[in-house]
Amino acid sequence: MKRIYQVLLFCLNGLLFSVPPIYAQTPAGKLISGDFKNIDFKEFVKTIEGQSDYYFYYDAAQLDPLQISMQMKNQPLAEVLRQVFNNTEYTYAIDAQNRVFVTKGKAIITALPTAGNAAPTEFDYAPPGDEQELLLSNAENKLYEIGPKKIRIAPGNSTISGYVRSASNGEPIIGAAVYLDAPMIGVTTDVSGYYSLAIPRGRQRLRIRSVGMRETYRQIMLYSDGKLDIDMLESVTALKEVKIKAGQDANVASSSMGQVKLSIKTLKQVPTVMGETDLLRTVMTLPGVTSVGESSVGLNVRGGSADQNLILFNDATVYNPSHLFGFFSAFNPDMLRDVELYKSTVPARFGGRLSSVLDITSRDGNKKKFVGSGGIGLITGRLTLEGPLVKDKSSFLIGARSTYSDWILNRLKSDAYNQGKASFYDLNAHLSHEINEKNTVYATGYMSNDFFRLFGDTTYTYQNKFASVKWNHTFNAKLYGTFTAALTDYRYAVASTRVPLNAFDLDFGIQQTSGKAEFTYLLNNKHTLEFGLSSIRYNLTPGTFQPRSSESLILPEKLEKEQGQESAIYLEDNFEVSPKLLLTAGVRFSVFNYLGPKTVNQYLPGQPLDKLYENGTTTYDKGKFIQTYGGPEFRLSARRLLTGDLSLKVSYNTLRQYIHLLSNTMVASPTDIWKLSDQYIKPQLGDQFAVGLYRNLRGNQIELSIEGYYKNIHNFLDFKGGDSLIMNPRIEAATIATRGKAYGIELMVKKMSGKLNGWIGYTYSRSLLRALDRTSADAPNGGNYYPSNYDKPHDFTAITNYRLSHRFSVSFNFTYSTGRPYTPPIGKYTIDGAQRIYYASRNSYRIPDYYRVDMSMNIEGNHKIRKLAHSSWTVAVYNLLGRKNPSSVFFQTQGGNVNGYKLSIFGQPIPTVTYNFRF
Amino acid sequence: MKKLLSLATVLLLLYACVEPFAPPEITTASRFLVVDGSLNTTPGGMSQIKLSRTQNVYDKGGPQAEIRAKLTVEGDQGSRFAFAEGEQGIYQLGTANFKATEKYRLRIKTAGNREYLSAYVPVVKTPPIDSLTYQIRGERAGVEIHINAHDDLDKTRFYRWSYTETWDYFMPQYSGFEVVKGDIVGREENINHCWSNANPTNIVLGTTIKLSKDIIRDQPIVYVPASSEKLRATYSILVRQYALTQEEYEYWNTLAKTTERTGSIFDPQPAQVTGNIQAVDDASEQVFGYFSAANQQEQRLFVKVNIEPSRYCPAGDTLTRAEVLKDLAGLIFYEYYPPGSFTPQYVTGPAECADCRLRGGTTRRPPFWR
Repeated sequence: MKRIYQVLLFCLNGLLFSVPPIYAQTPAGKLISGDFKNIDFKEFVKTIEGQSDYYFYYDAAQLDPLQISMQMKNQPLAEVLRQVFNNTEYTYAIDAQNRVFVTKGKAIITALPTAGNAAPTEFDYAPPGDEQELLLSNAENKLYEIGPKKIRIAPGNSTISGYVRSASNGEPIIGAAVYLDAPMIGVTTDVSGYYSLAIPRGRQRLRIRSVGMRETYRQIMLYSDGKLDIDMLESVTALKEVKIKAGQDANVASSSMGQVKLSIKTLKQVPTVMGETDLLRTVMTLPGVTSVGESSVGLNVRGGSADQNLILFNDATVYNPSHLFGFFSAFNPDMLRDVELYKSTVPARFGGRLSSVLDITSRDGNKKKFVGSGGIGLITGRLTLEGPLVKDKSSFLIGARSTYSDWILNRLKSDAYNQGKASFYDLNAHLSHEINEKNTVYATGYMSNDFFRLFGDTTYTYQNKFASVKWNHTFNAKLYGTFTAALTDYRYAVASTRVPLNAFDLDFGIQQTSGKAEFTYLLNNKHTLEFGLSSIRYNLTPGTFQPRSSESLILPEKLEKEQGQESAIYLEDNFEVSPKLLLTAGVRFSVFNYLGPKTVNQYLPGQPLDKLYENGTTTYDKGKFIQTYGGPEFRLSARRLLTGDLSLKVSYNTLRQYIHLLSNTMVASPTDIWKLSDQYIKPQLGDQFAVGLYRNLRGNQIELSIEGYYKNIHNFLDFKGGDSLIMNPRIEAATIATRGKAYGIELMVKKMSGKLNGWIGYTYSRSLLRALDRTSADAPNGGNYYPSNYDKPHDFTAITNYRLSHRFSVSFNFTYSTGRPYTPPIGKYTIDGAQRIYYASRNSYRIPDYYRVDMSMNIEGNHKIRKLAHSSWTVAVYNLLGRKNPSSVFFQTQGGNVNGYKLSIFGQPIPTVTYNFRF
Repeated sequence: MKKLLSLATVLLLLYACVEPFAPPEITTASRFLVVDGSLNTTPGGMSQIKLSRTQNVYDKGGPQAEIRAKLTVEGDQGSRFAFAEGEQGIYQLGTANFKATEKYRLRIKTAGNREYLSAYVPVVKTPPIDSLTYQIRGERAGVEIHINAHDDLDKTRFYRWSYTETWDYFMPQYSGFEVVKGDIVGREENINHCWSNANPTNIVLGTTIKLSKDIIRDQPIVYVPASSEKLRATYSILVRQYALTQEEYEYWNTLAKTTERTGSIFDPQPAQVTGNIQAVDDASEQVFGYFSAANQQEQRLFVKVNIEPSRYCPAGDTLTRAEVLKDLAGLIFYEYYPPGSFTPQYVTGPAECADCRLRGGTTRRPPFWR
């Protein structure tokens, strides 16, 4: 018999079946007396067991919250318990042996139905058939009661909120869809895995889906506003999947377009240069994203310049997202969770850049156990360690990556090899701590260093440092806030020893400190409001130029520092007009102050900004507002479901940008100057209109999308001819403001599952500029439109992955794009006794087209979930055809003659082998 | 594995390869017309315009002259002056009577029957140079030449200067003899003293637009460092002054910024600068040069500062006549009579110590030298 009870208890736990409460079998046991004041259930049981021969079976943890205050005199136990459990979710049952079973929800049956013991008519049997399998997960079969239990449930909505986390490591799951099937209501979880959803009260089945996770559901009985945290299991068959979520899940209410989210799993399947997962290179394979060249630092999104992308790593701004000029991306793949690219609809919480937002999120460390992973490639090695600091509460994640090619270089005898050098390292740390259900804090730190010497005499180094602290706070089920402080420090230096007399050190630096508060408020089922404010302080060191040795005759020079403050407030409403029509409307108001101390050049009124017309200076004191700019930005988007699998999206966005990048494209090594808006350099303004059609075929297996856009850009800075940008104290005189327009159409086909998967994207786009002052002598190309440096009309990418078996897959990449424009010197002539070079119209010619094929193979170890270390091998060949794609074209004068050169970085097939492990 | 590793190391280096790049747009660029010169309205002055063609940047040698073209200057009040071709591609116009109130333009008809026309330009009156001065800079490190000028009418405002430098110098040793036809004779030409000159192509510009009066004061023209060796004896500079319109001033300013260099991070960005001349039937055809009409003012300054230490150059062997005639490497400096001998011997030495012509100068005294 005892065994039966054990079984029963087990069943209780598993909720295999349940029955309505039974009060029948209450024998006339001893009567109970007592006077309880705020005692817990354990104490209560002790008292009763002391007075009688009843024996209680219960789950102490389940009954922990119960506090009992009552007085009774000679009451039967049944009556006592009825009072104790009144208005709670607990029930009880007493069997013939005076054993008391206290349970949550339904009471248990204490005896098997027999002929003499009429079986209750209302049995809930376990669901039959396939769903039986799901019973492995007891959470799915449990009925969660949210809010204090009520007999009668008033009709209407209540808000359920909480976190969705991974059951294996406690890490929040971002972008998981939490929804009801009927009525169709849903949200996706935010960056901390938080969701908040207003749904009709009563019994509901909440479904949860996310990339790479096993789909699950929760049965809830919603009485009032409340909290429910959900753990999801990783999908063990996830190896099969390539998922690119584009916020198009028909189940998920989202009106954003031009938004692509890549999870680390997707990133890992794309073959890369050095056999290492590369975030930026994968992003570049998406339609609408290009890069000027292989060695280029920047992304060009929809005809925007490289400085028009806001790159955030855990909310800290990243100024240089790559290592060694783009050979590697600056982000250690083992640290990443996912990356989200917004190229048309930019949520109002982001601002300060015109073209796009690249929001990179790191993983949280494993909250359950210590885990390590890493990889050893031919050029780099990396290692990541993570684990709980306080189990289930806080965790750490640290990662390091470094090249060790220098070490090998030094072992090579040949001088030719020793001439060039390239190395980098990066260090990451991420801490997360859940203070309690309502408060979570995160801290992230990053540091990297790059050293590069290509031609043996000029070295180029840069350092990226950033840190952020974030606090997530749930005020209540409807209001949720995030408070972030971040710091970024980016600097680079160029040093040359080519000519000892001219040996120099050139330094440039930018620092930024920012703080922001962001809130999400669930107004009601139809409206979700997002609002907040932010401020950024910029400190720029535009350049110091110093002799490198005592022999050098270089005169030290230092450009004055610049500072500015950019502040913004925003409000955005997600409005679900009907299940078919969804609107998002946001407004952001930003203000920029250019601040002293600074000595500002003055120019003669009515004359061009030129050194010749410079007329004294004005000095501003520390903190003084030299110039203020500001204005509203509008973010509007709408989605309309045309049929179940076809939707139309439209968006209109305006943005403002107060910091500018000036890039010299005529040199082999990139040197970029960041400049704040000032009296002369106005903020860049941009607006974009986009429209897109999205269709899913074959049960969401194949996704088709077509998006078109038209963009206007005002006050984009281009350089004037004949001026140098480096160490120029009159940068306003070396630049011209231009008006830009960009338009294009992007086609994409994605197949996310099956043996053969991947995507194909084609983009036709143009990006043109024209001087604002078309009559100025400095207006390039006679004041007419000319292609921007990154105008590459045709861009085609195919990423294919074929899975031969669960352990072996092959990927091919094909990339084609039109060569980027350049301005060649096309002739020379003699005037006034001197020879002069003349150039073609700006960007009127193109360097040769770019195409490349890559191949990679992934060989996984066996698929036992539990083993000492999981490992995989990646064998890849970058540039399989060995095409010498020029990444830079430059001209040098030697002995009075101009010589043109093209620099191809990866001009031959590059085979790599990487060993990845996880323990 | 070790082999693999070392293979990998060279990736970044070997794969990064630099190759010559000479696409058709560079090697087969069109050859555009270049107009170098202006209308000289100085009374009694002569105007000269050189026509040539642009060259491909890889071309060696000088530019190709544009010959047998017809050049005329047309006034907007009906005057016409025709240039005549002197040397190949060099067209000249003698003294002519230009009206200060008339605007002129240049018409070019090439042998290939293409016609080009400049914009109408006013005759700009250049005020005279008031003075040239100099200032010793640093610890006798060099000399800076300054110019002073003014326009009482406050109308000129934009100036350009060009200059020619001439300087003389002496060698540490004097060569009094030379070998002529197997005999030692007294040297007729004084090769101890030479004059050199330079025609720098720097574009020197100045404006008084920021000032309430049109006065150029102490405008630097050129800095002559002592190390240039131009200041050993007498240095002379001829400065020519041209008044400009604002448009022409901006043209020269942009031209000044285009150098022959690009490719290093400090080099200027490529600039497009053409001028005010267009093909009559194709406005998009590039023509280089700026046609203007102005008189020229000039002034010369002599500077004698002797701020360079004189060099010492020792004499070499003393040889007999036979030895000199048989095997002389350098020059004969002077005769030497050994005690008790009436046959001279010759003190010789390296030519670098005595022959100023080896240092680029000429022994011909310039007519303006004083």
